[in-house]
Amino acid sequence: MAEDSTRDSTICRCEDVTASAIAAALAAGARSPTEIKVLTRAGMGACQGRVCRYLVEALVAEATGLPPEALVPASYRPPVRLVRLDELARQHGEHAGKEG
Amino acid sequence: MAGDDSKVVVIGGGAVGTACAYYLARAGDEVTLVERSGLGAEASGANLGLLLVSDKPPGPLFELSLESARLYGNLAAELDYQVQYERSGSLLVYTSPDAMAGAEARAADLRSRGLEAEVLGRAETRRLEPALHPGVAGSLWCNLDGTIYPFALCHGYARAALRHGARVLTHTAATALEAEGGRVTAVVTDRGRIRTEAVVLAAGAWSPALAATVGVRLPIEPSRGQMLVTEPVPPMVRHVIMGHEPYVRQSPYGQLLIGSIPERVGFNKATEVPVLAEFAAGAIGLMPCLGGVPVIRSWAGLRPRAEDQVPIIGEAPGVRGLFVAAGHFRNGMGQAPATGAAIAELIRGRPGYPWLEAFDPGRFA
Repeated sequence: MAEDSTRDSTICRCEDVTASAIAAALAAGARSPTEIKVLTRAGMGACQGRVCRYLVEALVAEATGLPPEALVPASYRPPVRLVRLDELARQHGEHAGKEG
Repeated sequence: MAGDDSKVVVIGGGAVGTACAYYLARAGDEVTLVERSGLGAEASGANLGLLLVSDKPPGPLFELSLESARLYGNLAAELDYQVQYERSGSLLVYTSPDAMAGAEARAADLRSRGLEAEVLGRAETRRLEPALHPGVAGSLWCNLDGTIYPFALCHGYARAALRHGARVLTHTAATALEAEGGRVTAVVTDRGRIRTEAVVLAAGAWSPALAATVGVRLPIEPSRGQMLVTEPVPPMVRHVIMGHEPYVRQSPYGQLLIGSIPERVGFNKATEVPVLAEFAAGAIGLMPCLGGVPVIRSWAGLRPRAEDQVPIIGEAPGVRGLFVAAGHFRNGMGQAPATGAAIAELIRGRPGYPWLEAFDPGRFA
């Protein structure tokens, strides 16, 4: 998979991160998916890395020579699905109601 | 690799540690920075990137933030790195006329300290920030508050330090300090021992454990801050919005960042729905149009809270050569530049900042 990525291939579609941007981060010393994430924003967009996570891991594995399963994956953060602010705010009301 | 000697070892790759490494390397010192994970992995990567000057009372905390704001002004050019510093200004929003009672005095106080500040009525406030609730009473605008992209700050400082000859060893964990005859002599890491003449301890909430290995007590404990980020939306929030928990800002990527309040829960970085729901309700209370914006992520960081909520910057009592740069609590981003500059001066024996004394670690002895 990594061999097929040309420098212009988009790896993270949410944040428009190309393979060359990830290559630059690897060249600058990044060694983990989390470092790629914070340097390039790959995986920080709306889908939270659900699409690009495995591509990023493959590129890191290729650059570091480590097997993908040996990498510490970038963290998974709640919420699991998108939740609107007003839906979340309603939880506040319910919580406050329970206390009151 | 980690086994080589270094004149100064900085422990911690957050905003404060990378700033210390940069200003030391720029001054010509031989510096090695060790970071157990990647840069900005803890509190420096889990915050809203707020740089607040206007919320500090007159005195050393204000001076440390003000000097940092001055250094931020030219930092992107100096580091040749897009740290994404924006002097966006802030609006302290008042939701009722009663709450505005002290606003004029507060603005006058900020002006007397050299900042630009103005009390704005409802119409002017909503002209500046049309997304605010139509019922807001007014606001206090201040020019000098701003924002940064925290990861870019850490990487910008680290890369510039590298150009000045520093070594930056990520994925290298300091496990202990060593001292002999009341003087620091080495840093032990999981990749070897580094003999050194000076140590800068900038490991945030993890600093006390390392200080304890040479008998120094640092009263710092973790303070959790939770935050959430939304999908990108068109530009709709120009200033840092504060005065009413939570803080709200919009990043250059369009995402809204909302958070955070300090919580004493130990080394626990979990996010919790009741707290995030309170933030969501607070943000909608300020800006009703945010209701339909989807949240994509929540996360939390552990701010290093010193016992007296004042940063600890200076040489540790009893261990010469051990310099502490930790305990910045909620202000690490906003105070990292001046902390780094001050540490570089101190280590070179030229303490040039009159306010530095207030941060001396000796105050706990």
